[in-house]
Amino acid sequence: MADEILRVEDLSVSYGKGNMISGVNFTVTKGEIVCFLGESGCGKSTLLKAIMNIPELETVITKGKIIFEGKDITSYSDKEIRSMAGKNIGMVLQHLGGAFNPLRTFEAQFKEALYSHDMEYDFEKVKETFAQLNLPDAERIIKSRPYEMSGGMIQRIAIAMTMILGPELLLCDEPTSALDVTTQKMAMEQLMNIRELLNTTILLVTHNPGIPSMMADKVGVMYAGHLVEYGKTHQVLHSPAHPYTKALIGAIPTFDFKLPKGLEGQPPLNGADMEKCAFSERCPICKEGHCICGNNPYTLKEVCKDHCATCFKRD
Amino acid sequence: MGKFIGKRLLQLVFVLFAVSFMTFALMYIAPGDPAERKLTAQGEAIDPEVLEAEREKMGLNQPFVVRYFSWLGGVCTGNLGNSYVDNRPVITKLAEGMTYTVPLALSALAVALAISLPLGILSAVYRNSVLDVIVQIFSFIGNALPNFLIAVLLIFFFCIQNSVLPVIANNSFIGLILPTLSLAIPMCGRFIKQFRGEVIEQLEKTYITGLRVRGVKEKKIIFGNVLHNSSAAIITITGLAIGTLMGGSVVIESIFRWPGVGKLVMDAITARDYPVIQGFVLVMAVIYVLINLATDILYRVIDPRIDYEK
Ligand SMILES: Nc1ncnc2c1ncn2[C@@H]1O[C@H](COP(=O)(O)OP(=O)(O)O)[C@@H](O)[C@H]1O
Ligand SMILES: [Mg+2]
Repeated sequence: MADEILRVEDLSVSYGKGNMISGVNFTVTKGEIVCFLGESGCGKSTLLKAIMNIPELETVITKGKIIFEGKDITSYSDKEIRSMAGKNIGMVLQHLGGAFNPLRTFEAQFKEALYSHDMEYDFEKVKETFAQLNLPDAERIIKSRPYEMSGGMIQRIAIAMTMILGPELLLCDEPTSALDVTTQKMAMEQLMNIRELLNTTILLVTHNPGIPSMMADKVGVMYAGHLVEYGKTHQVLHSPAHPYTKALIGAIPTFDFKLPKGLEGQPPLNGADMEKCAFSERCPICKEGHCICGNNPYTLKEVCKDHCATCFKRD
Repeated sequence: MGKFIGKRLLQLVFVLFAVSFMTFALMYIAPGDPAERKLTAQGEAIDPEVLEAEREKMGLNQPFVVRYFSWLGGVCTGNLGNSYVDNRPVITKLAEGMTYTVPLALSALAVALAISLPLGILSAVYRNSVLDVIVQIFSFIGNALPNFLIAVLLIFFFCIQNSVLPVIANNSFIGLILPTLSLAIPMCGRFIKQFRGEVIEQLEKTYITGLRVRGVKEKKIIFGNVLHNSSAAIITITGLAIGTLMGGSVVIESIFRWPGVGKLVMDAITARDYPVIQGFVLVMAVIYVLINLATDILYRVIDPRIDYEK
């Protein structure tokens, strides 16, 4: 496909020992916003880190390919990967502590990032981006240092920084976890804005159940290191196929993050290298004794056009 | 920051007051009577009448507190008393010693920094590489060898085997080379180890990931961030070393007959020249405290978090 920007093929990733995600397949079209959902520890951050794949993130790609703009970036040298970081693939890290040098002013850190990519520092542009993220008083903020700021402010400044570098692919790992509801909304609108303006492709991990329906074109659902369902937002949210997605979506309207009945217990956190379906222990269908696990519990099968899942009941 | 400096200056007054009191008490605690010690130091026979006259002249018959304050008054006006041995003002003798100690200290420090900073940083950035292992071995050896042994080895190679450099060369630049190296080599050992540790600590901080994710250039990461953040600690380490060097190295100055304060105080101890010892202790305390203040201020300029968190 001509406008395909990212294709992940049979991707397995480890942190040195066993695989933390395994056999992940999906494609993203240029300008799309894709949301990844799943419980804590299922490998959402690992997936984004593997796409960025700089050594500091500690991810090791053990299998598969990542095709970015037609090129297999898993075969790139460290140097090539580093030169793409920020400029072609941007990332908002989940953990704020890693975002900025605590002792230097934001101005110095904005300049240093821009100059590293031979870009100009334009305060007006910074100011505008800050304002759109509900950060007034850019003059003061830019002269301050991270230890003088709250977590929510650092998070927005980090988003602004990533946006200003203008990457083609933006990876956002829970970019609004430290923000209040109004500011979250502004940040999301800002993401949609840059997609409109620059046709930026965005992969977004979020815990806010309202976000996918508001802005995502596609949704991916992960469980225990596997992508179990992937497809157009309205299809995944309104006619979920995988029993796990069904349970997870069932929880969304309540907005209380509680898992519904039938999804007791904890997801396995011991890596993605299991033979049988990792969800079978909690799966309502298996529990009722009508198990539909096939021989390939982790292969995505087409439910309908642009919608696939690893396991589903055909009506 | 202003408040901090004010507080520290006030502290400084108290510290100096305490130091001056203890230095004065040194005279008091030392065995024997000062007049007797002075006469002995000058090699005169102890005659009871001469002794009594000297006691009167030195004001020893006055109460302790009176003596302390009159001494302190002198100290405040730069009068540290006169040497027992040659009767010259202690302050002059110390100042003369400093004209030798300071150039030696500064050249040793300059050499040590010129070697340790690049090597410490390189071995941290390329840690566990061949370069790092070699640097670490040299740093360990430099650290383990006492400076007098290094001095002896240097004399052996450069003066006895090859006679390219003089052992004793007062005043001359060429005479400065061997004592400088003798002081700088063990200091390099310590500096490299400490600088390397500081740089590694910064390299392992999580903010490095953020910089990498934005594709910040390697050079900017090392010079703009890692060195910026570790410079506070590097300044403190260097400041402490300056303090130590200002005391003059008794051993090195004696070996090379370098007439700095280290040699001065060594001679004073041998001759029981108490006013010189006293003056030395006092001046060193002042230098230490001032260097400490300067490094603390610089630390805060680089890392203002300390003030902020209060
Ligand atoms: N740096 C790391 N080293 C080793 N294991 C890690 C590291 N980061 C995450 N993991 C493990 O990988 C699994 C997936 O984590 P993660 O991708 O962060 O989950 P999520 O973002 O979905 O909550 C977890 O079991 C976690 O403990
Ligand atoms: Mg995560």
